[in-house]
Amino acid sequence: MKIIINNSSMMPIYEQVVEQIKTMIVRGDLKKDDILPSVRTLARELKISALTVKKAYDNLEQDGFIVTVHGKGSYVAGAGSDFLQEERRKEVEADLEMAIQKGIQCGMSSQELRDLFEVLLEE
Amino acid sequence: MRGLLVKDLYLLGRQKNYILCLLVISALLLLRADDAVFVSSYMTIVGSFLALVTISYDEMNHGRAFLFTLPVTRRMYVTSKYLTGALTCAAAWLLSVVFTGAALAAGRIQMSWEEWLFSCAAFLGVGLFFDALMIPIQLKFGADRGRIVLLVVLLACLFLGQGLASLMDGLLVDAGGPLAFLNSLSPLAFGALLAVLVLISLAVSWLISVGIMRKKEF
Amino acid sequence: MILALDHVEKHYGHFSLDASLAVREGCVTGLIGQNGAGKSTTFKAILGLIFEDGGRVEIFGKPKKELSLTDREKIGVVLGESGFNEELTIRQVAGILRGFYRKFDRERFLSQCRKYQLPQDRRLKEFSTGMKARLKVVAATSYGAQLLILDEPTAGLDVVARDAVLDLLRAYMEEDADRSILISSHISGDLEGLCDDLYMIHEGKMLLHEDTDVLLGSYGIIKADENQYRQLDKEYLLRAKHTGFGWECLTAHRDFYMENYPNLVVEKGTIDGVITLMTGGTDAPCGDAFKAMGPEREEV
Repeated sequence: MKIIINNSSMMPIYEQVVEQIKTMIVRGDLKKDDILPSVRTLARELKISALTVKKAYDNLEQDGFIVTVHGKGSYVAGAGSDFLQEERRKEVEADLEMAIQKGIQCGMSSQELRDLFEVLLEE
Repeated sequence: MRGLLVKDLYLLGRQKNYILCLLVISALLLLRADDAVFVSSYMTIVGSFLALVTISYDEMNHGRAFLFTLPVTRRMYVTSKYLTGALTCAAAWLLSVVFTGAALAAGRIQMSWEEWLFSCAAFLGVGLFFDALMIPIQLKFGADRGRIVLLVVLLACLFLGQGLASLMDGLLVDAGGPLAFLNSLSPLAFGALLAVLVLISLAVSWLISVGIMRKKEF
Repeated sequence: MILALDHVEKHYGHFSLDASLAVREGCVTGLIGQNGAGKSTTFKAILGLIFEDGGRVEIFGKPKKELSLTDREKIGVVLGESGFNEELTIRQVAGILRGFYRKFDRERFLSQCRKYQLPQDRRLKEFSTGMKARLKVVAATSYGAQLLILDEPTAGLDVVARDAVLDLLRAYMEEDADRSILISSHISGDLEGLCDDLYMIHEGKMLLHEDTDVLLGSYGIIKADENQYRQLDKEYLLRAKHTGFGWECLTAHRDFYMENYPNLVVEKGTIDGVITLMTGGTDAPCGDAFKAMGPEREEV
């Protein structure tokens, strides 16, 4: 599976795995009922701890992206990509909200925040 | 147990050259001298010595530590040493029997068949007794210190071997009760007595060795 | 728990061991520490090579003394300094292993040896260090052992050889989900990419136990000057060490510090960094979120 782990990143490894798998599902690289590699197999490929992979899979299952059948493995969930896109949008919304809150706490005005947003978008 | 014996066998295989030398020397000795008794005792004791060689091998490179992480108990290890000793002793003894038997048949040495038979049995006993003596010493003191004790005991055993044979020939001036008693025994009874003594010494030795190994740390 | 140690004690002249650890089924547990910290002593106590002065060792749920020979056939061992007699060849080693382990798979053993470039008919004493290490691991994994106990299996190996050994272990775990490994090393990089959880041992005592995931994902090393340090909320600091530039601190909650002190230098927690601070830092402010095991520390 084409996942790239950035060991120097501050983002915990399991989060990186979760993000990349979610992206693959949303993009259609992984389709419904596609089987994911076993925890140990992926751990071996990525050279990370199996517990980390398990954490990532648990996370994905909680968010509804995959389904784990005991004894058989993990499969991409049947929810349509619309649902998944919706999930991702909700996450982005939550993140933006947090950023805005922080800005306000720091004393930034609404206009400053808007300007900042424009600048960042252009980058 | 099988694993331990297989290992000892393979390691003794490394001693091929040494063993070959011994055979050649023994054959030469027989050809040159009349002393079948000396040859027999020499070969048998060297045979029993091989068990000690396997103990040295086990000690190499801290090998024993790893050995005891395998499914092996201390008791099994000790038993395997005695088994190896018995096997090598018997093998050497058989060879010496063949050699001296051949020499006797060819008329190269002067001895009655009965005498010959008896000395053969005696030497097997001596070889095994030697193992009984040396194995615990080797296990406790290791290869280096054990070697010194070994040399001393080797000499003592050779003399013992000679002494026994001479006893049989009745050359010893009788020195009182016990000797007279022994002299009065038929060769068979005397042989049986020796055999029992050897077996007892092996059993005692085994017990001591197990005790030594049980206490060892690696 | 496939392996559990409860306050296993051993006293030598200047050194005392007090080890407690547990390996869960299906997990790879690492034991990391400096040379002389007590790793090998712990392993020897587990394997029955030395006799502990106190505490309990349980393997497969049974006390160590009650293990049958069949149980012991389920354990694979690699010791750093000790192995098969070096006068033997690989073929002979195969013959010996077959005499000890009912489940020994000769075909697999020989093909693994071929795969890792180990010649079958040369004596072990002619092998390089890397080859000997590979052989030990191949041997330990050739009879379907459920529990591997590996004491510094990568010591003395170069990077490439280490990688090969680690991959061998990962493949072994992949084959059967119930297998477990206890592995020790003083090379942290090896353990980061293999172990599920880690124990840190120092001067005979267990200093820390943490999931690798949490260690790499939540632990952080803070570098602060005197001013910053003074203003720092010390609630989540595990250790602090006075340095030339100010203070170097260890935390198990780097997110907290990253969010609340955007100017603070916070680095990812690495195993080496964590060990250095856990063992080196003598000044230690403590908060209630104190996860390490060890003696009490005073408030700074």
